[in-house]
Amino acid sequence: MTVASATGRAWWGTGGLVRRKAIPQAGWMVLATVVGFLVLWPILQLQWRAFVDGGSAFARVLALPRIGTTLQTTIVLAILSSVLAVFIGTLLAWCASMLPERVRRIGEVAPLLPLVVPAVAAVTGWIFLLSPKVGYLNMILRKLPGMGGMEEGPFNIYSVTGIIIITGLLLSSFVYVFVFTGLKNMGQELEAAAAACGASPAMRFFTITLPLLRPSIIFATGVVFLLGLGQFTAPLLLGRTAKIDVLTTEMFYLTERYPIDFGLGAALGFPILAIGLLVVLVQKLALGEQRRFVVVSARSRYNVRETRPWAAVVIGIYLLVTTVLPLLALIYVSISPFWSGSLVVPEFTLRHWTSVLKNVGLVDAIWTSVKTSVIGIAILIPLGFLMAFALLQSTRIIRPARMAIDLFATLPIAVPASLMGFGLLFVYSQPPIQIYGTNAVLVVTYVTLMIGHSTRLQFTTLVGTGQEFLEASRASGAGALRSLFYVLLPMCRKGIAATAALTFVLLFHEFSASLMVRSARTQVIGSVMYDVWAGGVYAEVAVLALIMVVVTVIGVLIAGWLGGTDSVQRKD
Amino acid sequence: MKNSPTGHSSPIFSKRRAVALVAGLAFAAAVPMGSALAQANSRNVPAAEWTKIQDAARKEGKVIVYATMAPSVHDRIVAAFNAANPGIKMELVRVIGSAQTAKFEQERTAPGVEGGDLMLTADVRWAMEGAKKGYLKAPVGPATAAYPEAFIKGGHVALVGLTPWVLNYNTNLVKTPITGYQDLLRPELQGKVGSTALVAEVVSLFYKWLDDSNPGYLEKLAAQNVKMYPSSVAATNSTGSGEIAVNAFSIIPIDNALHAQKAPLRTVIPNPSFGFAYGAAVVSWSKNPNAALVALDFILSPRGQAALVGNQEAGSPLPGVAGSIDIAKINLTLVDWDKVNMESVKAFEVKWNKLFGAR
Repeated sequence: MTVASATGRAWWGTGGLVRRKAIPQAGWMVLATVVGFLVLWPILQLQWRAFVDGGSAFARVLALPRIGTTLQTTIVLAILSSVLAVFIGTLLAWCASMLPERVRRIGEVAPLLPLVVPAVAAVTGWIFLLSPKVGYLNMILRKLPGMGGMEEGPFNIYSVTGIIIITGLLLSSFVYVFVFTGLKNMGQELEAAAAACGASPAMRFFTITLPLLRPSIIFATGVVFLLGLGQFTAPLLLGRTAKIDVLTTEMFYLTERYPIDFGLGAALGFPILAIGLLVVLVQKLALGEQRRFVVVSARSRYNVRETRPWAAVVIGIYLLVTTVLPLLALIYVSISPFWSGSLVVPEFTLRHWTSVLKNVGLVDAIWTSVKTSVIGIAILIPLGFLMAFALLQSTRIIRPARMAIDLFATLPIAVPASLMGFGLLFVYSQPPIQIYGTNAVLVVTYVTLMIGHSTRLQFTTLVGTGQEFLEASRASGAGALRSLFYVLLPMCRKGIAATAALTFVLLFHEFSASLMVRSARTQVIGSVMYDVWAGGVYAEVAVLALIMVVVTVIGVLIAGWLGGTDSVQRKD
Repeated sequence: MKNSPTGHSSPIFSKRRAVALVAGLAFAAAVPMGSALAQANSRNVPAAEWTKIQDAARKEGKVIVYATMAPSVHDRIVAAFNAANPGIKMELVRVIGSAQTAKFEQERTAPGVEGGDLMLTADVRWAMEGAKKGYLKAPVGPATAAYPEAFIKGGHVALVGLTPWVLNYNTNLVKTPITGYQDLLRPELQGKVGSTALVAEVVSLFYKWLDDSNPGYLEKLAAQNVKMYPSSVAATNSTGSGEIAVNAFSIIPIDNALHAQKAPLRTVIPNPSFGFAYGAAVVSWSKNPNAALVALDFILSPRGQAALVGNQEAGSPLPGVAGSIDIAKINLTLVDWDKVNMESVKAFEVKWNKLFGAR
């Protein structure tokens, strides 16, 4: 180094400090700045509106009719749907770990299938099933002995209970992802020891497995609580006629009026934002350094978990309830002349399919969804990869840049999509970046919402890959880029494809933020579906929901094909 | 409309208003079409200038319309316009209620956005105020010049589609026919009545009319535990499905879509009835201003009016439009935007929210 300094190569040229240290660090700073702008700007700009004028927006919140009930419903929904989701998701993971060999492969994937059905489609399907008077399932149940006298029910989907149950079911797949991964990566030595001491499977589960799964369950609980807190789809579609509101639906109604009271919306979103940040903080403190919880698979030599045929039955019932029944209801309504209160339809028709496929606006919306999702993924994958790589380089990146990147990868997960969408509508519908009314606002929205997921998922892939090969490549004389393209990326291909598949699902299904930022002519499939739903043409809603499912499956299959046969399953 | 309305007298009848409306329409009808072209109003432009506007419209190639009518009405308007105006494509986006106004307001402040050029809105008050603020282009064209003066508000907003609000009910669930608003209070309909929430000012005016015409009625209606829907299309579809038995707020084209599917639905035009007209106007920030003027002129022409009124779905200020409802026969009072006091409407909305607990 001293010699180099003497020859003037310590700072400039190959191996110089500037090229070796300063330029990469500056690159990371630029990355942190760009992502920080994307994530922080809408949140800060919006929240600023809540506090200007002496916080008068909060006074307007208090003046809203039934605001106390709305706040209470928001919190009750978040807590109870999370509890339900954690219970169901953990049960499913446990069942999946006990599946007989011949159904194991399909059985382990089955709890993930509800993710293929967009929430808006699933809720619509549930309306057709459990509408109190004319829901098909309710009508069938009323034919059972002892229920003949009932004019409606026994279930009422348009209730807080209905919304909690539907939300809990929708979120349970996420819990399954985390808990099942933890379960799979967990050694079974302790369970084997307990089995040798005569403990029954149930006792082993409650005394050994469940405590060991605590980190996964805590993490999953935090995630689904945040999702429950920002829940929008079920309350919007099920709550309106029953006079049930949550904070996010109140915010959405603001965008339907003029002039839009952004200050009021910001004040409405403030409790969600504060609780979200608190949950993430607690989660971080409870779990500590993230890498501790990325479990590198080390399969146990022991396999003490007995297989149980009933485990497959439990998963089958879950799949039937969450996916098969709503899809059947959607198919039935889509080919009926109109949604009728009769189990027997005199004729079936494809006119609603024809009507949707001939409707230029609806077809445009479907293409806009596909286009913006694909463009979003094209930006998110490299951006997320860089951020994940930065998080992995614990000592090689200056601390402020790494902390900033960590924060910007966490914030979008903590802020509900509807609140972020409200903020994005505010900042991008006025100068200096006025992109409201264009597809660009959708792409920016998607990138902002998903950058956290993209980073976290690819971080897991990178950790799983290990740095040894990269270091060996560098030691062998390959440059950073060569090592990246010839060593790291090929090794991460499947993980990246899995991230792309999951991101496509999340983006194509995105509803909450899209509904906030869409303009009349910049629509995605979720937003036009809401318009058709609000317009009441239920058969066309069913058609659109089924199209969403089909396109999602195609997208996932393409991503799987690009990444290799098992890539989709791998991430899950 | 298959089901003819059933007359039903009630205290909310306002004969004087109906007579005034009929007189207005009679006046409008008395204006001969041919001589209208010669009217010395600012909407009349020389033929050469109109040709220039049409040429410019064809160069623009398209017109974007935000409309709030029933989907079937939109389909008819688009088909008729595109057939009559080769070279100009009408793109119509359905944006209902006050959401349409919110979208126009956002686009007004975002000049880079290619948004709506022409509005067909129920929120006529915003359009009338917009005209005063310079938000609207002055309409011109031969059909526009011939359109009855009484139906051009503030020189910029054309009132089209004179639409009565109607009731509908599920014939499988309601065996004793419903003939008017008083029937919604029948005990057997408790919990089975639906309606539309205050999604637009014009909806508030409907409920206010009910309240003003028959004091105490709304309180009794609220006691029926009315289910509020986000649109009249949604409420009507729910009536057809049987989710509710009767819907207090709909319009005929929405009902006709379900009649065509043989849904067990009957439509009733109450006597007296209350209704409204849509406002049609071109926004000043339009990216396709010439095409928008051509489209508005088409809508105000007899062909455009025929597409708009369909088969007995609405009335037209123009005489002799095929399919138009004979307004004089149905005892209809229309919203008079010149007399609407927004302060009293806002106060009424607070009362409504307390009664129905919905938004």
